[in-house]
Amino acid sequence: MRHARWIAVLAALAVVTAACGNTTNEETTDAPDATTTEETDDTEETDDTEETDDTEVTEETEAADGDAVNLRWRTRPDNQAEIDVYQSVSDSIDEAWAEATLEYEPGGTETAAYQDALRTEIAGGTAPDVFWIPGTDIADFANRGLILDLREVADGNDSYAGDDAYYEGPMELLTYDPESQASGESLWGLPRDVSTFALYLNLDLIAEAGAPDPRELADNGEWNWDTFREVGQAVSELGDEIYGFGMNNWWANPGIWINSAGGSFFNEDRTACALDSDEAVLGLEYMTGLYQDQLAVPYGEDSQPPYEAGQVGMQLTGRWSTPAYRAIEDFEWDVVNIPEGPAGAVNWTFWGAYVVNANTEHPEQAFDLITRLTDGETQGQIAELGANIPSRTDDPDTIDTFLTFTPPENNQAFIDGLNSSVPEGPLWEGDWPGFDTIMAPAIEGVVAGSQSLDDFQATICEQLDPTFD
Amino acid sequence: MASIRLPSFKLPRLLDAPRWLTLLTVWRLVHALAAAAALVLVLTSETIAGPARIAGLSASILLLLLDLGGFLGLLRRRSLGRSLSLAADYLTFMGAVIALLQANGVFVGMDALGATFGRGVPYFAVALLAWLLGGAVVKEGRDSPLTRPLRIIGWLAIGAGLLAVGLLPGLATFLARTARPLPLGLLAVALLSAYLAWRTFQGDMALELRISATSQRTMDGLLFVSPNLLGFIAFFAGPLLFSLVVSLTEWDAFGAPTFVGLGNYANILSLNVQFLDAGQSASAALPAGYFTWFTVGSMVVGARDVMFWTSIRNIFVFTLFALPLSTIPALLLATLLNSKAPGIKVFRAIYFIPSIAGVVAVALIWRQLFSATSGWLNYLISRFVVFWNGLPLVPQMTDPRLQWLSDADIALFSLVIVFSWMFIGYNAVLFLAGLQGIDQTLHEAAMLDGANRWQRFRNVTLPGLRPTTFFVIASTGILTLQLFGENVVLFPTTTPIGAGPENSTLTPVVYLYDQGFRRFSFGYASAVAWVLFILIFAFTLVQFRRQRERVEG
Amino acid sequence: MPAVTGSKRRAVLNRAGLYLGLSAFGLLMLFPFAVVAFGSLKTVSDVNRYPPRLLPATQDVVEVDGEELELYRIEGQERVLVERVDIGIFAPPDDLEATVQAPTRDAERRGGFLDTETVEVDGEEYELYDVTIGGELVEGLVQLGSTTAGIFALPEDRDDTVTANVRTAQTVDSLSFQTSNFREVTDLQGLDRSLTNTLLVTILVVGGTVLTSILGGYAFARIQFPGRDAIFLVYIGSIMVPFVILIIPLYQLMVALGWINSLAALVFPFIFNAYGTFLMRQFFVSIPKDLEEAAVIDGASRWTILWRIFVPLSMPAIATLATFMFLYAWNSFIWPFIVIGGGNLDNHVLTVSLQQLGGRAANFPHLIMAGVMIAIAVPVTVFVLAQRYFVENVATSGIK
Repeated sequence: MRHARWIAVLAALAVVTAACGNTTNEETTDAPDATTTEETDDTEETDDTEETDDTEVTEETEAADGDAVNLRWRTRPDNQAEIDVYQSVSDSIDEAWAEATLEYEPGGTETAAYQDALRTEIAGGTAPDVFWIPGTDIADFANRGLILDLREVADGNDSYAGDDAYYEGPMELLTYDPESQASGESLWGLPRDVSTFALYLNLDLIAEAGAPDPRELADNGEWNWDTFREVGQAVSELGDEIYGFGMNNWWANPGIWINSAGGSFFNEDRTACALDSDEAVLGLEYMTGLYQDQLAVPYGEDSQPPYEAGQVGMQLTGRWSTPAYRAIEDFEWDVVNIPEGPAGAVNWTFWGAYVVNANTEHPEQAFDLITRLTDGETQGQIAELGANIPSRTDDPDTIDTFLTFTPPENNQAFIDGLNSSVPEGPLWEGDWPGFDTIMAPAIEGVVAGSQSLDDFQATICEQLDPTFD
Repeated sequence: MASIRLPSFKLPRLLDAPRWLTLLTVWRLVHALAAAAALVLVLTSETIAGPARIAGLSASILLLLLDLGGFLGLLRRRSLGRSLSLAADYLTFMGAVIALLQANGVFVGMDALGATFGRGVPYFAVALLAWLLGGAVVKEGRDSPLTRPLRIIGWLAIGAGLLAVGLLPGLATFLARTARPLPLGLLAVALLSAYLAWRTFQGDMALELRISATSQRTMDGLLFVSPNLLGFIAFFAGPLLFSLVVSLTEWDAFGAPTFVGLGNYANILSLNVQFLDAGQSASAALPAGYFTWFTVGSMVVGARDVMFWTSIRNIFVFTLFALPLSTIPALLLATLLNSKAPGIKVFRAIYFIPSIAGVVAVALIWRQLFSATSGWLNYLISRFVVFWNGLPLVPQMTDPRLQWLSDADIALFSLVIVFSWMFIGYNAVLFLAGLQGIDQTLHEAAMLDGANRWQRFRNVTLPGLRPTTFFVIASTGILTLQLFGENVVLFPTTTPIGAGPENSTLTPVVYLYDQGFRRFSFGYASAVAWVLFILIFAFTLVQFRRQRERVEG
Repeated sequence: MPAVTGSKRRAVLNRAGLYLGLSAFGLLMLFPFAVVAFGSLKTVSDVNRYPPRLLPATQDVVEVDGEELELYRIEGQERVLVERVDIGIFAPPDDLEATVQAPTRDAERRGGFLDTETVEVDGEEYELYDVTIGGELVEGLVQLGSTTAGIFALPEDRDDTVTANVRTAQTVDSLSFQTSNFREVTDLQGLDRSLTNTLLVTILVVGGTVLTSILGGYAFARIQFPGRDAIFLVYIGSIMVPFVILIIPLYQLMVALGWINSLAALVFPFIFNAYGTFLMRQFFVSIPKDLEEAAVIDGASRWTILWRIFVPLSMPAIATLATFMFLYAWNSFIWPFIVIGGGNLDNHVLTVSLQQLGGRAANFPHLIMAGVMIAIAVPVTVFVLAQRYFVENVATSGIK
């Protein structure tokens, strides 16, 4: 028995030992080490690098191109279909590109925690070379020195299509230089795609309620806050568990009503809070009315499941919801642009960018990868998914291909939305996570009625101004 | 003299005790020089920073002191010299082994094991089964003819499992990796130190230095405790001290920390009370930098860090409800369970299940039940309302259609429900153990005195349960004060994550996570952690005092 | 005699009341599990259905003339949904309250599109329709609104139709279990990998803790050495320190070791456990000294005594410690969430995977429930097998 115990201890050790064997044989380790030695052309040393170089290498690729640069990249997946497409994008770029070996990894989460986890990994030194982050977070990452200013690399890269090949709004924010406080100087990344809100309609419920078809109203120029409310009212009267309207609870949703009322989160140059303007408060007042008159799925409840279950007449959400909704069989659906408020229908340009980890070993190749990930071909491939709108504007074909991917029939609604929209955050002169942390509960309070609009108007900017530099 | 022998193999002793003593004395000096060199290296290096620097500094200083002490001790032929020398060599051995494993990527390589481990699981299951059967056929301590074959099957299954998991390629890689200068050096150091320590530990050295029994026992004891103690220092005591230091700095984890003294604590704890004049707004009355926490009548309480104080209020309210709700019903349940009726164990098991399902699973289960649009809870309530309104002669009720997770007035109580549901059964089992420990004769005596059931419960059961009650309240309280997982799972989309509608479920740990891992204010988050620690400590202390007083009174 | 029967009756009543109370409470504890267990076998529309129902079911489909049609129960008769039509709400202009509903295809606009006849009622202008209702032509109605409805026919006679609201129509369902949900959720979130990761981590944590605790506990219990009691006091004190305070420094330590996003970060910090040492020490202290004295006289080393005498005697305590650590390692959330919650899905353990599944599959509650079932399967099985030790673990921790 005594021997048995020793064998047990040895076996446990052996298991731990076994761990490192598999590392090179089939799986990949996880520490892209900052201490990695310079890539060497010396073939004799490749053996050695295999051992010391902890960046992810698989055996086949090592065998194929011994001195290839290895790049890990990541985007936030919203569903499995998207993961698959990005994987195939990664594979085809990898195949066509001799200089580098790619490894795509989907981000872990699709909520805001994606970028929080990424920060954690950068601090831990395990973040990938290239990653996507939402537009709101660009400034925070840049100001903390977590991502590279790619301007110099871009200037030396022939395949870069130039800043004006992409949507202007995002590029203006992506090229901001916090030191000179001017746009067009730096380059923090390139937009992966853009997106915007639309109302996803349950046509069956609207027809049952006898309400006018919002798409026809929009065609006739009658799609505004009043008719929107009428449609919502009619649908919500169908039954207790039927709601006229639904949207989820994050900053962009109240933002739509504030924008369309002529208000804004920030002042024009994004250096101070502007939520106390009369227009912003008007937008909130309209939105609050929708909830207090019980037209809508309660604020803060997830409105996606009831929409998919056929309980919601109009669901405000972005283009990214399309793939999930394509699986709906129980009712007819389509999209329409958001209704016009006092200042028109002012939508968001949602965008996120591929950026380069400040600690990457290979900035040139990383930038090269970004241009490849945003070229027309790749964008078309991704647009097919239905989740995204191409971020390139220099190629009309890309937009046309996007329009042909149905359902929804009314893809034009997204292009219309983009044409009258405000690009989402970042706050170059402030702290967006801090801003959001204070704004979100305040708006929840207004909708729930625990804070009056007057109170909100009087105090909100006082609380938010400390989040600006 | 009982000592530790490595079983089944003997090493050569090479030299006799006096010569070995001389050699060891010289070795101590060499070792001291190496430790000093390491110290200089750590001090001058710019790449070694943070925890690595602290660990390097403390390790090399410790070794240096042990070496010098050991050297002097051995020179004077004191037994202490042997002890210190042993400690130095032993620590060097442990350090070298761990460094070797780390350098060969064994720890990080565990991840790959996760991929292949699944292949071994069936084999391990077979092994487990074989052993269980082997244990079952043993009767009255005697092996049956089946025991041996079963044991062999078990070992074979383990072996097969290890092969399936990838033992051989693993060992091969390990050896290949060891064949590099650094790992080879570490291996050499490890083997050398191990032999030195073993040789010094032998009986002849003990005789040579006339080692006392106490000294020998100390060595034995420390050797046994050492794996535990070293880990304890590395993963508990060290980090605890580090945390205290970090809490005095401003540090965003990407740059260098700046020392700010007690500034973080001042910012967290600052409160300001003002009385409003007629028509004055709260924000106008408070000094700059303070924001309204709450107002009562004309009194306004402001705080620099309103979110922290909100989290304190929330956790206070939460504990106020969750603590009684997860203990008092548990006590009642335990008195029910404290019966010899058949089938009682089945109930006990059922009540226990929520506590083993884990926070995440439990919270996900309740998230479905709480849904305001399709959840069971609202459905059952509205069915009840319909039923109630159908009764004659009752006031009519309206269906409340509660928004369990999106109404700021309710969200915290939804958490109370989840928490209590999870821990009632667990606490009931605790109480049950306490009840069964109460002397039955006391009950019988009280019965003879004519005490009724309530009086017996009040005067016999409750006093007898006091230690259990203390434990239940203290351990449940510690859990409530650290509420985090439930929040994150139930409120994944609020800003910050887990804070709930209007920050109504923002707890101190949720706030700590937000500060630490979303805003990357590591110093500030550490300070929050210490404040929370003091709170928890005070809570436990108060409970402890109360228990003491009652026992004494 | 009556007194005896009285007390007997009371005993029976007592027992009945006891079982009633226990069962009511048991229902409270089991019902949420039942919802999830059945929910994990539902289709997405079934799980989102309101009002909810416990058992998983799907709507029946009948084949009529080569067409697959959904089956409903309308006014007690089983009927299939043939088509959906737009319905107009019409009323005579002189009495707008007297509305009738008819498919809009049965309504004809008077005068056609070019020359529509209108009528003014209460200052509003309405178009006039001729509507066929129940085979009869009713002339001169105005349309007040519209809705939709379904035409339901008898499966055996497609000409026997009724019109009714589809959404509120009662469906004919039968039980059906979507076992494919489990595979789907496993593929979606890589739960198989999370499961083996969790197993691995749990085994290592349990094994490591038991090993270090036995060694430490033995020293604290049986070897007198200076400083022992002081160290032991620190150990006991450390049980009181909440884990939150270690999060940030431990995270930094993991960064220094390069263990972020690695399973090693979930194992090694947790195998040196003060509580376990304490538990083993308490048990070892209670073992009579004379049991080991014979062995000491035989010249057995401490190592031998520990493994040959103490450990076999301490199996209940070891099992108790093992169950405790098992639950701890299997269910721990905050630390894995922070240290491996990043993009490397391969290293996720179940708690982290489940939490992320809660976000990713928010639209698919049936998949979340399937994930929950997978995650709790192992602990519940182990609990059922080793119930005694779980309960003992709780009991000992309470008494000490």
